[in-house]
Amino acid sequence: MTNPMLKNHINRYFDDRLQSVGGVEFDALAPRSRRDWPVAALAVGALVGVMLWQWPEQSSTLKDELLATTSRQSDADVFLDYQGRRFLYEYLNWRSNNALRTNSRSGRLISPWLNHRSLMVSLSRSKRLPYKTCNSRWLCNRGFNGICIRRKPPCGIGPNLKSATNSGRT
Amino acid sequence: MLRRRRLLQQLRVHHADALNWALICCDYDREMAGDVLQTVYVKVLEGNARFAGRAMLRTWLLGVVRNTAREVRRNNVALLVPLPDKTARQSEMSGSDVIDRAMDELSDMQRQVIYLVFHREFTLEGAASILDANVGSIRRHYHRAKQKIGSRLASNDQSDVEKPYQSIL
Repeated sequence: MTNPMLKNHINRYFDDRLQSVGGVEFDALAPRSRRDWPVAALAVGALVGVMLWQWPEQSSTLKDELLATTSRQSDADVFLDYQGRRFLYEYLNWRSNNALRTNSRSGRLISPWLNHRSLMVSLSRSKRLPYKTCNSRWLCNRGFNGICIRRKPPCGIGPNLKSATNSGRT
Repeated sequence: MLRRRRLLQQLRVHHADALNWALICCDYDREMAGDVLQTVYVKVLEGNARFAGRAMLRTWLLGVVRNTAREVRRNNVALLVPLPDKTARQSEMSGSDVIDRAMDELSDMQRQVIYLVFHREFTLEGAASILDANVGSIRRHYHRAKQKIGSRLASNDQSDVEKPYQSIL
């Protein structure tokens, strides 16, 4: 049997110590429930929205890059008007995956930047959409989306690599 | 989902008890107690700690808190800040705080037993279940803690306030 006064005193001791430390709310400690997925979806949506909002700046960067490859601004505008951004992104993606290629004949390394630049110049000057298939009679099938990048195709939208890499057909 | 929701409700009901117990187990370190409690909640909700129904839910939860606190303290032993010297605190305290002084002098186990039995009104069997020890050991800690408090009260003959306790202990 314990004295109630002593018990009260000990209880007061614990109460004082615990109150001096302070409490923590349950919601601050409990892990998130799966019911919170709408919040996560909203966060993802906001992120995507910000990315889409930033898209014009990215396109302007592309435009600047394109302008650096051609002296005529109208050509660059035409290229962008043809929704060339999507093509350019796909092409750059493909380009990064095939950055280090060698010419099958000469064995020399094909510079991706030179290819890229020459392709941009050619595309911007042609004012035409890329073809799905390459009409080249040399039947080049190594280009992205049917566009010949190894030799100058008759369609006129591929790069002429002859001067850039000395790998073209003479 | 239903099970998780029910568990969350139960944890919310026992949150205050669990937090106080975590503070006791962590030497009143609020940050560590928060970490311990969060780890406990994750354990419970992810099924790493399962309630088998052998005891009351509150007893089981406090046991999980205590085991988790031990794990955390063991892992963070190098990071623990030493507590202020208790003898230095004694000189600052007045004579009426003799029980506070006595409580500070108890070992961690004795203080935990006293907290569970006095403050939370557990039986010795319940305290043994929470502290993962047998009842005999808990009873020994309990009596030694009371002896320490009694001896502190007996030696403190300057204060008249605590004298009524002495005959009971």
